[in-house]
Amino acid sequence: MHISEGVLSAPVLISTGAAGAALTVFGFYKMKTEMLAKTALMSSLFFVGSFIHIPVGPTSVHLVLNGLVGAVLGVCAFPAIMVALVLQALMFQFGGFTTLGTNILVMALPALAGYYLFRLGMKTAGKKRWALFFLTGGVPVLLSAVLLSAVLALSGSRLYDTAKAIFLMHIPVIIIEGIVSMYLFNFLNKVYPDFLRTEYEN
Amino acid sequence: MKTKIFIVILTLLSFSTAFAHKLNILAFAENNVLTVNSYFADGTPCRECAFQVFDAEGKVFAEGKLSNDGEFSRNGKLPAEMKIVVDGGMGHRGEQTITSSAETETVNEEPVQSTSVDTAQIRQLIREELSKQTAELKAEIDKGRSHLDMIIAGIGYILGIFGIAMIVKKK
Repeated sequence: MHISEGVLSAPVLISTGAAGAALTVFGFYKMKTEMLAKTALMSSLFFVGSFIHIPVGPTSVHLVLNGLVGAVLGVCAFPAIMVALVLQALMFQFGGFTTLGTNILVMALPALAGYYLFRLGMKTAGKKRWALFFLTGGVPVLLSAVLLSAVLALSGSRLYDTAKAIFLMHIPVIIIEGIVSMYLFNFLNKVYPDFLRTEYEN
Repeated sequence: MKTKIFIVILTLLSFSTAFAHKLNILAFAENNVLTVNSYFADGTPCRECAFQVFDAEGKVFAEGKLSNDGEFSRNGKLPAEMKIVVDGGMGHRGEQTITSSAETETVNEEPVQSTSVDTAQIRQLIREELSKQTAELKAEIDKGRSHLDMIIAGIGYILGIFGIAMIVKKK
């Protein structure tokens, strides 16, 4: 999911970078002081998630966990993911600084979908809730794959081949994150419902 | 039942701290032979990845696909300075600039006139062998290195950054 330096063309880099930066500032501006501790926690989770690899065929993919981050944080997912991505770029040359805004957009924008699916799940009960919690984890990864394909295609890579590779590689990630999110949120809802109550906005 | 499922999921994940997504390039240009070897940081070769070699003026000197082992080699006249770019697909890209050791060329072409051994030549040869070996050694270390300490440091940084943010916001 992390785009390296020098892959993207300048117009794509500038437009997505600006959008990513603007949304991060917006997210930080919207953040309540009480949300800071939670944001730090989810940011660490995202940071570590990228080092957990799932072997797929000859290579491997890593977890994205943007669904979990988005479900708990809402708009605050932008600053959380930004901080984690800066450190990954700084310490591990993972992604890059010029592509930082693009990477934020690709991973944090779908996190909002996770937030809405999760809110929807909290309103329902029973099997429907389980299904929605599964989607909370899975759908954002799918949307990130769509955004990643689109961004790469706009920079001149062949859309069909790129998109196919990205989707096939991320099917296991979608399933695993869905299952993790399904059990995690049901568990948290039972033992620590306060954690999931997000009135993050000012 | 639930715990069993969790254990299965956890064992399915490989908790390696290697990063399959940093693309490393190991390249040598010696005696007019260019060798390129590209691998992801966890050691898996960049199979059939597209690559390009540019010379100092930015013109494409060679391009194509790496072999199934992530390798490429070429004999013949080489530019003095080369930039190698490997595209790992899905937004992964590696870049490396190398200079070809032109000095060996002259050393090899010179007919050996005296039996006395030139120390400069020996020094040159040893330096080349060593640089090659240390580069290989570095790649080997890269492949097996655990970055657990750095990951923990990263978590520390995140908590620190948000701690500072909290102080700023409280004011």
